[in-house]
Amino acid sequence: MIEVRVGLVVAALAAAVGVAAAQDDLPAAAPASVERGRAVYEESCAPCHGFRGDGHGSAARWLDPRPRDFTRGLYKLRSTASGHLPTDEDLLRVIDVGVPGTSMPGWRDELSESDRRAVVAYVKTFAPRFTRARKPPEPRELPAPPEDLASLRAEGAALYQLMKCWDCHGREGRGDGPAVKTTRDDWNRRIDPADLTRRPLRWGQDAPAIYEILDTGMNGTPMPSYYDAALTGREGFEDLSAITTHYGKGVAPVLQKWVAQMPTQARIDEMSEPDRIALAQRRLWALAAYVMSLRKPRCWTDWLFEDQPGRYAEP
Amino acid sequence: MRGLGRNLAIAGAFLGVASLALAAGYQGGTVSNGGTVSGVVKTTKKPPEKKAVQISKDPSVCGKKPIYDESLIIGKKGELANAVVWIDGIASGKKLEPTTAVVDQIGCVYTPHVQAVAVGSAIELRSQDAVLHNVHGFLDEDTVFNIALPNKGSKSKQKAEDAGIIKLKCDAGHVWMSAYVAAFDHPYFAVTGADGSFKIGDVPAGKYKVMVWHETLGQTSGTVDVSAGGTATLELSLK
Repeated sequence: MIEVRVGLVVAALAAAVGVAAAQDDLPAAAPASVERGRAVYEESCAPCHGFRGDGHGSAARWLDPRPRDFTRGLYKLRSTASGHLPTDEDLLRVIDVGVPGTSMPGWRDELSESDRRAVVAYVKTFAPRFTRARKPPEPRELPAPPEDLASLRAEGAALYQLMKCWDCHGREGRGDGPAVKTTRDDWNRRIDPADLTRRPLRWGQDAPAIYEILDTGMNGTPMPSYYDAALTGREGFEDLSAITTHYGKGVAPVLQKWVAQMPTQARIDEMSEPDRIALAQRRLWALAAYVMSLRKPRCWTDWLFEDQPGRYAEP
Repeated sequence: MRGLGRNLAIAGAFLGVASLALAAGYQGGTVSNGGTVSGVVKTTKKPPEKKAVQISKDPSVCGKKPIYDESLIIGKKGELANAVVWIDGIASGKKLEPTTAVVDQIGCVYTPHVQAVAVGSAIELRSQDAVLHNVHGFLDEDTVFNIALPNKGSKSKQKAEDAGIIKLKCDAGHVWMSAYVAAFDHPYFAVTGADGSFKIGDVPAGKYKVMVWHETLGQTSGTVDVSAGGTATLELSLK
């Protein structure tokens, strides 16, 4: 009889596993932290982000930029590949330090770590994309900045022109390039490219934060990932017509010197994987170094509002 | 008695595996003596007047040749090009084989305009243009990738991770640029050519619902009865 019972139990279990797996739309039972997250969220986050997480809280209409709509799983500030979901650590970093230059404050001093993590868990429940995901989001490699970062600034200035960052961000980085007229976000709202002469920047003021934005792009906005573009060979940069149309013919001789030093596409394609990664990373660091140098205080009062040491400290 | 217990366990395990398979979706294998679904997609709409789009940005690169709107291409007898046709909800049949969908940008136009691949396929993005392009892919209006291709020869490899129709567009002021890459979790799909025709082979015998999608005219469906080794023909009409 024992065998029969064991058989029945095994049969029932196996069928249950199969049926449960078949019904992948079935909502998972809410773990305790999600319930705690809901309580914290509804008290501290819902006034701006809304009880449904759609960004339509009662204060939202007064805010610019608008609070994030969590229902679509589109996050600008991430360590993951373009189009991918953010990691829990990415979400936690934004909750911890806030988004400088927006109405989003940091909550590290207001909420305990377990409450902040609970909010991360709860915020993810607003977007079906998180429950559908087959594996957890993976951060991309963030290398240590090169020691000679500042010396890459001139190369970065050339790459800013050659890789056409000015098309959106403008020749001086003021966010007034020729593409600005038509830029829209995933909610079909007008969106302006960042004014790179102003601080603070959203993800952080240091080179790694800028590098990460260049590497991963900003989901939901026109800002793309530039990693693959940083693997373009010399031939791709030789046609300077679009650049000289915008900047004038005067920039050509300097750019030609930079282009002449670049490896050809065939050489890049033949490179070993570590060499190729090093090339792309070097070019992105150069761009980051140049973006850091673009900061220009405009008025003596700017020191009041701009980044002060410690004010937007990184975690 | 011992035998009954074991048999029950085996049966249960089978049930479990079978329902797991259901959850996993399409089952690929070999199809012997499969049939063919072939036909044509038509519309009652009149062909729109062929008009070049206005080049509002980068005319020196984008304006070399006139660019025509590809969102509705209709032949003389109403044949509809660039429609995506597939067998709806097919659970098993020939192998699902990931391939590569190449999307090139030449003179600020995506080539091809519409294509279809299996889920898991690579989407290879390229540019021949010396102006800034970004290929911004959307699935159900949400970003799935957004890649800068700012130079002639820029390239990137993305992946069709989920089933659905990915729309591509450019944010760099080239508002006329659009293309579609449809990804399916089964291998029974086709894209109509200029003559509106399509052909889907190696279909196991049976009754099927055939769907068609077009970017401008929307969706409709028809039914076919495929016999072993035979050809079922079908005309789908979009209004």
